[in-house]
This record gives sequence, C-alpha cells and structure tokens, in this order.
Amino acid sequence: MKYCEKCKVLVPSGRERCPLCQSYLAPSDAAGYDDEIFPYIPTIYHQHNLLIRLALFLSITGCVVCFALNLLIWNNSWWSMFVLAGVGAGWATLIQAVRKRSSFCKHVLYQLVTVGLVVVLFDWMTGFHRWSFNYVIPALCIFAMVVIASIAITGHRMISNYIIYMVVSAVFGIVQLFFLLPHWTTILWPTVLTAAAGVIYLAALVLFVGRDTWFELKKRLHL
Amino acid sequence: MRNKPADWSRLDNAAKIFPPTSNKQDTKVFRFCCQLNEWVDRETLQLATERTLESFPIFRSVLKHGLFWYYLEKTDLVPIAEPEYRPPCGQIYDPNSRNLLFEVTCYRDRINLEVYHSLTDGTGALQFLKTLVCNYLAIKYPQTRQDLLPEIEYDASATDRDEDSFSKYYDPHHQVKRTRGRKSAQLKGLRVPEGRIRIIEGIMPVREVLQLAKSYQTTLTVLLTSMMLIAFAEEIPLRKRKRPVVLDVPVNLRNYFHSDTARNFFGVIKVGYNFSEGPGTLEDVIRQVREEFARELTADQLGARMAALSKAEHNYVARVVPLVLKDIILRTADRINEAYMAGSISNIGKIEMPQAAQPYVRRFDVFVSTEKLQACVCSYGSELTVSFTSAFRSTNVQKNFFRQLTAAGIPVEIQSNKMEDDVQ
Repeated sequence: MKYCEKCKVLVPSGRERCPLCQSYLAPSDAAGYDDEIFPYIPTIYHQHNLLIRLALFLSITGCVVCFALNLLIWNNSWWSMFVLAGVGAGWATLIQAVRKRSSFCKHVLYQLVTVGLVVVLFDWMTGFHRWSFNYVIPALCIFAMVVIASIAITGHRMISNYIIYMVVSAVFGIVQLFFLLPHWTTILWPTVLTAAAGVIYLAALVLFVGRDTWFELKKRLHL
Repeated sequence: MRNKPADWSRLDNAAKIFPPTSNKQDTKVFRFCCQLNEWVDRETLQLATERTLESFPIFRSVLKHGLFWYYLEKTDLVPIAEPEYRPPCGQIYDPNSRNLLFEVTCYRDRINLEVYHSLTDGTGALQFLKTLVCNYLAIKYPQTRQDLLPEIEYDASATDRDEDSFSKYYDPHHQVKRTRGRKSAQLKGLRVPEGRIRIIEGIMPVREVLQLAKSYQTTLTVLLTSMMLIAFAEEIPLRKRKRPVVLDVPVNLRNYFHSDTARNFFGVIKVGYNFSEGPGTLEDVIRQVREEFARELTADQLGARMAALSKAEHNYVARVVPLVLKDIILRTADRINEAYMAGSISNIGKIEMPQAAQPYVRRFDVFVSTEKLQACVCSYGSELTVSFTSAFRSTNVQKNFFRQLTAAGIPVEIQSNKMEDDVQ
C-alpha cells in the first residue's frame, strides 16, 4: 500500500506515481494488497492496414496521372473519367464486401445495388445505349434470386433466417418494371421475364413457407 | 410450427437512442463488477453464466435492423465467460455482426459483466450480476446452495421481467410543463488514445461519508453531486464560466412507478450550478442542488419527460420514417443534447447480497463508457465506491473531487486502470 502526501489518498498497487496528481508516492504502513484491478492492455497502433493505404495511394496516383495526361496530351475525349469511375466502382464494391462479410446473403443484395449503380453510370457515360437497364440489371436480379435461394436451401441455418433476403431479391426483380415507364428500358423480354420470376418466387415463398414469411415480415416491418 | 411464439421484441423507449449513437468512443456499454475474496474459476463461471441466462431470457437476444425500428431477436448463441482480454467498456454492439449484447469476463478475483445499454439499465444488469454471483457460489460451494438460491430468486414473473414499462406508463395527456434545459460549460483537453477510457475509482467508508452528508443536512447523492460540480468548475476556463456546469443524473424510475422489468426503465434529470453567479462554496452548491433535486425528482416531472419521449416514439409520422433516416435524426438530436451536460453522476445505491454470499464477496463497482466524464457510485457492506470513467487524459476533475473528500477527513483508497503513459 502506498500513500500520496498531496492528495492524502492510499494507493493499493505497485505504482510509482499517484493516479490523481502524478506525484511520487510514499510507501505507507497500512496493510493492504498489492493488486491491479484491470489487466494492462497495451495500445495497438494499427499497422495491418498498410496494404489498404498502399492500394489507396496507388489508385489516387493512377487517377491523378491519367487525369493530367488527359488534360495535357491526349485531350480529344474525357477518357480519364472512365479510369476514375472504374477505380471508384472497384473501391465501392470492395468496401461493401468487407462491411457485409458476416452475412453472405446481405452481401449479395448490397453488391447487387452497388454493381447496378456502377453499370448504369458506365452506360450513361458511354452515351446511354440502355444496355444496363435492358440486360445487366435483369441479369443481376436473376443472379441474386438464384444465389440466395441456393444458399437458403443448402445453408446450415433455419430457412427463416434467409426469408427476408429472398423477399427483397424478388421485390428487386419486380421493381425494375418501373424502369419501363420513363423508357429507360427499351427491350422488353429480359425485364418481363425477371419480373415474372420475381412474382413466382414470392408466390412460392407465401405458399410453402408462408407462416415464416409472415412472421419475418412482421418483425422486419413493424411500426 | 402452428403456435410458434414470437421470437422477437421491440426495443423500449430508452433503448432506442443507443444503437444510432453508440460508436467506438462512446460504446454505451456499462460494466458491473463483483470482486470476490478469492480468484475466479473460469469454468465455474461459464456454468453459472449459462444457468443465470435461464432466469433472464431477454439477455439471450441479438439486436437487429428492421425497416422502421431496431428490435431484439431471440438467439441460441451461448455466451462464453473468458478472462478479461480488452479495455473496459469496449464495443459490444456491432451492426455488421450477430452477437449477444452482454459479456461475462473475469480477471483475478473479479467477475465483470458488461452490458449494452439497449438491453437493460443498471438495475437489470445488477440483478443479473447478483444472480450470476450466487449461481457461481452455489456451484463452487454446494453447501451454500440452499441459503443462496431461494434468496436471489427474482420475485417477478417472466412477463413482468420482459415488460416495456415505458409504454405501460405512457400517458399522452400528461400536462405538466418540463423545466427548460441550460447549455453547460464543457471540459476540453487531450483525449485518451484509441477511444479508451481512463478509470479512477475511490473507495471509502460509507458511514463517514454519510456522516459528512448529514453534517450538511443532506443526502449522499446531493453531497457527491455538489462536490463533482465544484470539481468540474475548477477546470473550466474563466472565460467560459458564464455558463453553468450541468450534470446528468440518471434516475431509476422503478422507485416512482411500480415495475419489475429487467429492461430499461430510467430517466435523467439535469442538475447544475452557475459559478459566475453564486459564491460557489460547498454549502451554496448543496443548497441549490438540493432544491433542483426536490423540484425534478417528482413523479410528475419524471412522468413529463417520459411522456415527451414516448410521444415522439408514438407519433405516426415518426413511425413510418425509415430507420436509416431515424438514425440520422437521433444522432443529431443526441449531439445537440450533448451541449446541455458536462458529465454525469449515477448513484446505483446500496447493493445487498444474501447472507450466505457475504463472506465470499468483497466489493462491487460500476463503470460506464463515456465521451466526457462520468461517475458511478455504489455501496456494498461498509464501503462506498465512486468510479470515474473519463475520455480525457487529464485527471484534474477526479483529483479535485477526491481531495475535497480527503480534506474533510475521509480516508480514500484510489485504484485505476493502467494506461500507456502510466507504465514506467
């Protein structure tokens, strides 16, 4: 047991300085224990993200160099924007992948939205020929539905854990019908087929695991 | 399958603020600690934890994201009682992973229970820890079993324990006007790295502190709150003195509205003193704190705050706002509210254990995560512990506080967690 002359407090540990005023402690006679009540855990300075910082640095350098070259030498089109968008899209998908790594189904849905936005952006930058709305987005929706359904069937957890993702993927499939209204989608068959698949998918959920679906929706959508 | 019971529950009113506002610095986690007279055996603790969970089904939940609200979902996850491995009050709720909202760890002779605030408040957590310690002792010393377990039985049905008392006592027509808040002077300074917290705890004989309070004709909570206000005031620069120093004081609403819930049921009152207007002596601060306590600590005033918060929750427009937006709104509201307090002091009160457990239990203490400076007070047996947690490197407020007590002749023992700059 030690004693701080200035604070007049007892310090029952092997410390050299007073935790209150940081002055040196005097040994004291009062009997006591000599224990810390918390383990000492050293500060961990983050070193493992050097790789990420390096990659980020290289992407920034690449983008700046391309942009500069675009301005100075080959300046007949804005080609450097593609590099920028490509690098940005790469990082966006990577970040989603890392953030949602614990749940694969959630990951698939977030990735669907991210990749969807990226392809629309590219389509728009290359003159909006509508290939993103016509083909890529319906294909992505079908892909998500199939992947999530296969995980739900083969996965080790109860089916109720996957229902919300199945519902959302089916809804995504149906929602893209709305892209027909502003004529973003010009070729009908991929969109219609995907929406039809979405409706059938929902019907199957309601008929075969209706109770679970109902509970899950009630839970997720409670007001 | 036919009669599947609901496997989820809504968050109570107070719990709703925590998920959007908790982060690595302010994790909204608090720790209840029980120090035994012997070193803790990890395997026994594991058994005791599993057994305790049977009496507290709500602890077996994970926090999930709905479209409009967060909710608690039942889970089969089994908690693992392990040796303490990280700094106190670390992050428990991580939106990207499914885990339980509490942790049981041990270090030497201490059993630590860390709880995420959305799950329960101090009263609920203390009840859990007491049951855990009794279960631990009953497994380790089977002869004490008969004296221990009936005593600790929580006298409440499972529905009472899982009840949301905020919605039970919500009266939308409550008419009492709430007192207006004042912006508080704030502590500034270097922070502890990594979002850690600095812990300084003082242990003193409860009888002498009570006597000191009596000599000022007041209660222990008022005395300690006043001393904390003075300790803060000395650290506020002169040019900021025109603002009062305001402290949050959490209040256990179970003392004002009957409830046996093991979930959140607390309110907060604000107590302050303007040191540029009054003399700032202990007598005068006590006088004002006592007045404010008397004014705020009535069922009417507490009910008014509860009604205002519940009203926001029950508002139809607010309910249909997607959670993503709610998060942003609540985070902003919380940040504004931060300006109205400089710290907080929470008195958990006297902790009682069954007679048969007393020879094994040495001390209880409580800590709470913070991005400012907070104190938790509790007493067990003949000891009073005042535990400061702080996000600041400076220890001046704590020093000012404890020096007032030692100057009044109270013997104080100081314990703290070792930080990097303390290791010599």
